[in-house]
Amino acid sequence: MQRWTSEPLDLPVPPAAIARAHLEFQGTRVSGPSFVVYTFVNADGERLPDDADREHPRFAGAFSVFAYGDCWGATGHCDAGRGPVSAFDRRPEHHLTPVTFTLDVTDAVKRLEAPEHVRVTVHAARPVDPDATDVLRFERLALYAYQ
Amino acid sequence: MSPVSQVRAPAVTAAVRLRKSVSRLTPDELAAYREAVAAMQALDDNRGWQYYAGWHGVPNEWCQHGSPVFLPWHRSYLYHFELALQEQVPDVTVPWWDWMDEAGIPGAFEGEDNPLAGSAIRPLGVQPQPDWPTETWREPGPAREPRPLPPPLISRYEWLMEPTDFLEFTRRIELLHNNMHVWTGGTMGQVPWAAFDPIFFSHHSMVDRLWRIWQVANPGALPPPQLLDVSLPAGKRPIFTVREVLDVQALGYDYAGSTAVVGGTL
Repeated sequence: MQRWTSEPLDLPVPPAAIARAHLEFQGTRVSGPSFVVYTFVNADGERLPDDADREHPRFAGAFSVFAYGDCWGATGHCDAGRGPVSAFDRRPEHHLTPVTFTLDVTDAVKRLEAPEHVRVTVHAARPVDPDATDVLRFERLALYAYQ
Repeated sequence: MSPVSQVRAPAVTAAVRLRKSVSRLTPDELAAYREAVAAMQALDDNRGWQYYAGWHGVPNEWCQHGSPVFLPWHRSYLYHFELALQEQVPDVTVPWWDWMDEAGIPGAFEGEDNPLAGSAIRPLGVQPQPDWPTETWREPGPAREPRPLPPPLISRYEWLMEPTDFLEFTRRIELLHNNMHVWTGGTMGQVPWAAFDPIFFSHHSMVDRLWRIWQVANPGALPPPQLLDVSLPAGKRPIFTVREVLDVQALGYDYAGSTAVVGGTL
């Protein structure tokens, strides 16, 4: 299982005024085996047990990524960096183009008592390889909050 | 002649076919569906199982995930697949797997000598590689955390139906869809091989049914205008646009329980 804790994220609006908050995992890679992500907020990631579940008081949300598994094609088939080959190339994006996953964390953030910032801890695992530690690969984590 | 053209009713009107829950099929209906699937599995041409599975995964990869046309593309796909079933056994429809209300994998998809329990994987038109699976399998319900939610997912129904915006509904239903693929595991948990498993089509019949229910509850909530004329890749004509798959009855089917229609006076 992969464990990861973010740098602190500033809350864009005062905690008491939050009507809705969501996390965006931007640029998430969908190659490799499918996997499941649990997120926790301000959970002291070092001490969070590996078997922390959806009932944990700092659990914020979960999502599953239906991924493409091992590349079945020849060399270059799964190179998501292949872009348009001409200005007239209107074909759909490559099947492994990174995806953004959005998670509503309103309830979890509102349960925090006057947080100055939010740290997100991630537990991510592949059912076919539960010990893997390179599971969730993404470019940025963004926290959006709305009054 | 009047310059005003008239629109005529079609000369022949046809009743739409109903898709039903796989666990509520009569024994005869289930036998007919199994017969149709078995017949497709025995065909290695462009009427057969391998051909249609290859639209979604190996070798064509036309499926749309993480995309605003996730729902329309899979509706078009099931339309074509269902017609292929009906070429084998008239009147069968793709039953839905009701993972909102049922725990586990329905018994209809299990057991020996059952074409719904699995399928060979022999993609058409490509040379199989040594590391490719040769048949489908499932590994439902991972034991360790973190893991997908097990069915039934009824606790998520209200959350799913809450949005009035098509794109937000799409985002939410795709998350539940992903959950069920990953929960089922095996080849169902891998995009290139998932559609070779017969349970795939009933999973997507359920996804499509939930979209239909949401459409009935939100009749004015269309996809954004820039999506309506996007075409949906398919191996056979018609190649639909998003606009053309919004009305399931125009595609010849509906879901049992989602509508009730009686004849008029004509």
